[in-house]
Amino acid sequence: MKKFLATCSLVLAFLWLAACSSTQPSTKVELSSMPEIEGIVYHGDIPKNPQKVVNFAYSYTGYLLQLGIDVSSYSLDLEKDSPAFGDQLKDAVQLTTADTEAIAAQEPDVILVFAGDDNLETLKEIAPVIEITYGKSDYLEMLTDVGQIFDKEKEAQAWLDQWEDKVASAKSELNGIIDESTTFTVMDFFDKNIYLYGDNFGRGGELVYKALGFAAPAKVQEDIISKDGWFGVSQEALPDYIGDYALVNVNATTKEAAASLKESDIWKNLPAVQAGHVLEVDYNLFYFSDPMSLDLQIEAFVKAIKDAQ
Amino acid sequence: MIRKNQLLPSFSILLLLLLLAFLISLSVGYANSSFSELLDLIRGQADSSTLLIIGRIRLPRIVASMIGGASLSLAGLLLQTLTRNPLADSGILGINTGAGLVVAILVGLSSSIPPVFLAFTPLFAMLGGGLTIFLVYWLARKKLYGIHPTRLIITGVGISSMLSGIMVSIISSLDDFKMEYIVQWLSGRVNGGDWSTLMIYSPLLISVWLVTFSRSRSLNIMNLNDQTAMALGLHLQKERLVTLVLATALGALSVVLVGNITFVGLIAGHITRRWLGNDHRITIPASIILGSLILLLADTFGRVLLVGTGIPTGIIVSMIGAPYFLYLLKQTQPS
Amino acid sequence: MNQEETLLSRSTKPKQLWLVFFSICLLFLAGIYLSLRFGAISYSHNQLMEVLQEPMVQSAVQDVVVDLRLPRILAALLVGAAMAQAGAIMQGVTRNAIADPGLLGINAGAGLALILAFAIFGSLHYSQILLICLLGSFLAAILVFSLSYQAQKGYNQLRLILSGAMVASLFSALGQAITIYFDLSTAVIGWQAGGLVQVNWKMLAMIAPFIVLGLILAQLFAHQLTILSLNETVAKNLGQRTFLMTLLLLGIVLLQSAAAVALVGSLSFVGLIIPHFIRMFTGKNYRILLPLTAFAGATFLIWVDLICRSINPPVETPMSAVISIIGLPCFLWLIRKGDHL
Repeated sequence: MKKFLATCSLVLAFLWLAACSSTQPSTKVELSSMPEIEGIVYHGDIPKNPQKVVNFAYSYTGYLLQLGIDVSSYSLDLEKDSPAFGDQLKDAVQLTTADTEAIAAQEPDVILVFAGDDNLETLKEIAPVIEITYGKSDYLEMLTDVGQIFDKEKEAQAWLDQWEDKVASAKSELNGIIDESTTFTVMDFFDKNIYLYGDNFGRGGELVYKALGFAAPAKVQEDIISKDGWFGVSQEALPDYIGDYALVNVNATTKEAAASLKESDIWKNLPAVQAGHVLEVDYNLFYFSDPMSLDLQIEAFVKAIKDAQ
Repeated sequence: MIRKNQLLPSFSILLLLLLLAFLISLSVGYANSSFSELLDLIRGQADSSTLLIIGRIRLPRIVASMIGGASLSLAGLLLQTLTRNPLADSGILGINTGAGLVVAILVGLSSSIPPVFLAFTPLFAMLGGGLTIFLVYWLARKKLYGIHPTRLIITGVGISSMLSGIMVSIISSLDDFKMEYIVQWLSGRVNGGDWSTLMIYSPLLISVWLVTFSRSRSLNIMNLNDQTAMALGLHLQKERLVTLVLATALGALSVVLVGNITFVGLIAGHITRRWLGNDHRITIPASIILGSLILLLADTFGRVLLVGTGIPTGIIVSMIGAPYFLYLLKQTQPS
Repeated sequence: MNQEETLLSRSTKPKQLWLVFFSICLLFLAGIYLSLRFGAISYSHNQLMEVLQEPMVQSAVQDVVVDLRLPRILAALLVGAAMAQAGAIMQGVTRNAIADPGLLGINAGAGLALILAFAIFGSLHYSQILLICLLGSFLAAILVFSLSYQAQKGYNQLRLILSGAMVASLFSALGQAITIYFDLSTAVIGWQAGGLVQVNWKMLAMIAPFIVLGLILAQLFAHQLTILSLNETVAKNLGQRTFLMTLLLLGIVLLQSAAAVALVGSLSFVGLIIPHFIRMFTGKNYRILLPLTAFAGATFLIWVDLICRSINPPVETPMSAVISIIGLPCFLWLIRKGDHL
């Protein structure tokens, strides 16, 4: 027993010393200006032009890719499935914030996480970290923010300009088809639950309410947009929340999720359903609200409206 | 019964296996290092990322699984002696879940309570584990028949699952963000993997090991039936209580280190006793080594083959442990 | 409780029993009435009466009350009755107070089957979900039965429970692993949280026959259960074919709880606590215990469902959370009355 303990402690001691010994000096890296933005906290020195980015803040993958910043990992399957940028993640690796070893093996230049992540301390030891609080900047401001951090302000502005044009032309197209005061409800179904969304939780909310400026039914405005931004609603109360059009996000797994609801009278008696104004859109495309997704969403949306006439 | 001259070779084999597992585990992983890189490390010549990976990430996790596995296995051994039933284990009897519940609540509230509380986590964990085993014990006793080991186990399983259910429902309403962390940890993710936690818990656990070892004689006597034990001068109730406290401490503290992992005590304890007999002076050290080995292997397996999937170590152990329990069940006579 | 009190309680049993029965009746009727009237939307008494008098006439109120609430209340009734009664039978057959149908692997089996189905087929229609859950439960229970059977010795209750608990652990570990690997957590979380959301007449029609059959069979064999629950040797001496009876009764448990779980998702506590509560008043006479338990279980679940729907309208609170919050104090209270266990 003693011998084993002795050998063990010797080996451990060596490794411990080795682990604690100083690291080699790193090459000089240009640092980002790290502008002060509400909702963004910097840990460490953020490089201006990171080559290897490990991203756990999945809402912002599209922003990074739009500005030409390559991402080497993803954390949510939806990122890979996104028709907007999924193929750019072909070589990316799936990680969670707890896979410390794998993250370290990536040798990232910077790591992005959502605020409040439990593994923040460990991640800080691997690379500089940008901690983002969801929702502090809205979907367009975020692009400018990311642009400022990584010195890509020109590219960001370029996209914003072309987006404005796109929105304007979409609006004029739609003006001929539907009334300006049409109300939309953004929703999806998940096993036994009906979720409604406001204007900052993806699923097309940003597109419909903010970009294109359509209104939500009064109840949605009251209970969702002014409050948490999303919630699950009971079937019984559904009619109060469905406006002229319903934007329903579906994908392969949730196709049948609301079968029971759809077969019920309460659904069939909805004015939107009776007028055929239920737009089914691809969940994978509409989940995020980053620039790349938005570009495709706006086309899909206009098409869906046209098809529903 | 094992013969004296079989002891040395048996222990040597165990230790050798452990050392081997340790070295292999240290060198494999998502970023595979080879032995030569390990040697470089010891000579202080490795590059900073290998250093980081091996020293800061892998090593603490490996040490945590070893110490955690050892403690869980020892806890199981003690409980098996206590209940005179091979089907006992700190997870099965609910100690792990109880400790887990308390720690989970602490973690769930960690943003809203003063950090002072967090310093007392070991104490709280033991409290949780202790309360649970007390509850299980109390529910399982039948007025006239005293403690029936199988009733104890059934009650433990029932309480365990009830507590996990409650934990999941209540914590999910407290803090959605932490929810995933807790569920993962409930399934046994080895996350005591940083040096600071290890620094606190390893000495605690190792000292419990030593205390337990010093009681080998009393434990051996407990193996015998009650009358003989008392005739040999053993304060049965007191000894039982002490053993229970030790087992609870081991289980609860391990839970903080490696998450809620069941079955290690069951498997390690059973194999040890099958192979080396019932003398605690032998089985205690042996089960410590065996438990280390088992959890280390399970965790290495998980670490290497299941990256990015996020499947916790505890699930692997359960998937081996549950069938093993069933196999044991077929072996033992219903008592 | 000492001997005196036990004797006293025996002599006052009939009076207590009627009291309990009437209280449950009242709660039952109140529960149904309130459930029909309230929920995400509240209706007035008159509105409710109008709709009930002409249930087939289409109207907004009717859409909710008759198409949505009524099947849901009936489902709560049946599921509550089934789960509570299955728990009572389970406790009697295994002679163990902590037994619960989940120990036969029913919840875990249904869960694993569902997860596998989601992993393989992607999206499932609710009728498929029901069938898959039923299948999963049955297969799991058969596994547990066969594992606990010993060739010469026949059945042993303790081995049954232990095997069941382990199979349940194994299946839930497997289920978790598959869920994490295929990223299915959002798909199955609804079922796991339990609830009667979106239950409609069709689902009810699929499940109700199982439960009703189970309830009837249980009543027919209630007396046999009373005998079996005493003691194996006594039962045998009284001429009962214990092995067959055990098998039959466990089959009834399977029938009822698998159907209930398929409909409502993974719920525990109901089968565990309600029988204990009722047993305090009826003792071990299963001819009275079983129907009363079923009745109490039905009432309980109707109220729980009401709470789920009305606590935070229009959001639906998950049922397992509500039951845990109610169940825990009930459980602790039962422990205080511990000697009845």
